[in-house]
Amino acid sequence: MSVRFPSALLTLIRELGRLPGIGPKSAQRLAFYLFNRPEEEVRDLAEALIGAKTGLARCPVCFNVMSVGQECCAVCSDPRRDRGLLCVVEQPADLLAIERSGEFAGLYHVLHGALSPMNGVGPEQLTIDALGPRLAGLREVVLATSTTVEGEATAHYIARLLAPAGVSVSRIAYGLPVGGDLEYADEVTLGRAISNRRPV
Amino acid sequence: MRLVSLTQLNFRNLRTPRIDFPSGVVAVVGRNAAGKSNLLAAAHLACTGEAVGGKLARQVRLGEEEAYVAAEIEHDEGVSRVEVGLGAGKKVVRVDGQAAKVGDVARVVSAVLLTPEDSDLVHGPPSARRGYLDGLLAKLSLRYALLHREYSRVLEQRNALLRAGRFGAELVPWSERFVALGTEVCALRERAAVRLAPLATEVYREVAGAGVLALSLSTTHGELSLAEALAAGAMAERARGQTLVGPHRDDLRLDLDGVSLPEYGSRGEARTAALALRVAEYRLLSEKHHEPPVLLIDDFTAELDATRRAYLLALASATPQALVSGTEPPPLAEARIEMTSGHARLLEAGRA
Repeated sequence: MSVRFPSALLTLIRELGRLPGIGPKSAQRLAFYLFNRPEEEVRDLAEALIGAKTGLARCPVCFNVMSVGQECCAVCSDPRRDRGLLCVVEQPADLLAIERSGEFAGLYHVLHGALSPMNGVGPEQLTIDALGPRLAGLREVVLATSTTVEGEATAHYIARLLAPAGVSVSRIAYGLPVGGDLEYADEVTLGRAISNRRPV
Repeated sequence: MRLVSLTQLNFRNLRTPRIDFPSGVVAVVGRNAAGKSNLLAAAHLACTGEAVGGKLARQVRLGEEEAYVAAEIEHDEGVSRVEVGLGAGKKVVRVDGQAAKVGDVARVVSAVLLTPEDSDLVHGPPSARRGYLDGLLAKLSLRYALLHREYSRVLEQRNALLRAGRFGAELVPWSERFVALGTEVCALRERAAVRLAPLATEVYREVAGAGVLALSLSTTHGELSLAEALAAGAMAERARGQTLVGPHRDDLRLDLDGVSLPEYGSRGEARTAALALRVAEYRLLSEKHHEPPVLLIDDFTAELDATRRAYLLALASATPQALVSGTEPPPLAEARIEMTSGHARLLEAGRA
């Protein structure tokens, strides 16, 4: 008869193992780590988990994350925002990255993913349908999806979808990282930076 | 270029952890299954970052999970150290201690492997010839390697939509990317074929004495553009649930005096043509690096034709370093590595 872990521990290992990037061994290590922490600390973690789930919602306008009870997210409710500009991103984390750049003062639209037929992600799985009603009054839509195969296809799809509406659509530029040496750039990035050059 | 040393762990049936190589013609001798081909395969992996013989799992010793191969390679600009780790279907490459992409290896060093199986390039399916062209292009251009990977990914995504029967607006962006990337892949292949063709023709004539070997790209879209061909085949691809035109189905056409070699060529003609393709690869890489790549000739004793064998050996002695394996040493060998059940032993140059 082999010795088995108590069922409470097995349940914890199984649940942790469902998290992205956590394999069975990491799950087991995390479970034992938690078991050895003071109860108070574990309780704080549990509350943080529940709190994040029950206290957060998607903004009904742009689908960014926001606290439950708010009418819309911090960006959408900010009166200083330029309401003629809309930036389409894949994830809330991308939105934050663009915010940190300080270069964009318009509104956002978070897709929560990119088209990937192999993984069963089509336009219905993203928030693309909600984009149409937001076009009124826009001067420009900036497509800031990733430069992966899936991000590019998503940008192409949205660009086609928006074409009849007559709003101007742009794609973020491809280029070199700032402060990087030319000789260390890979050929594809450098090639794109050259073909997308602009007058100074 | 010269392979100075090879360090390995769990690579196929190899046992010796470190093997040093002199320059010139190095004989690799041993009985069947002694590990001669595996030694050359390890050298090829470490000099190019590319495994020979398909699946990564097959490169690892039976019963082990991971394998490692490292090489020190001397070239005009110094000595580079390439390390390749294999495990769990993944490949990790380092060049001079820095994490690198496969294409980064091709930037500094290269090798060409000639094996008896090369006749599959002629008599095998089109995928063998595409594989040859893709392998060569990946060694010549990092851009191609990245482009080809992106193309394959788009193709997979597009096929997933076709299989699921989703032919609407959702298919359009994938088709557009497919056409853009596919056209670029075709253009780079076309350029490579144009550079390759005269070299292969020349080598064929040198070896066979007569006959004009012609190389050209045979595409699924023919005279049409890829976009037009894709549109024309819309009904068929929907019925079949997969993309039927594009560079993933193209072929490298080989004609001898105007007649298709894969269809009508004799075995001897096929072997000579395969040799011509490999030597053309060797010459193109020599041109790119401004020095010859490491030459690896597997099982020269399998080449029974006197003219081809003489050509192989002449090529080996004219290059800075060639590892030549066989059940007996080649006549001009300056050093000799004896293989017995995976163990390698370098014999003194005088005793070779």
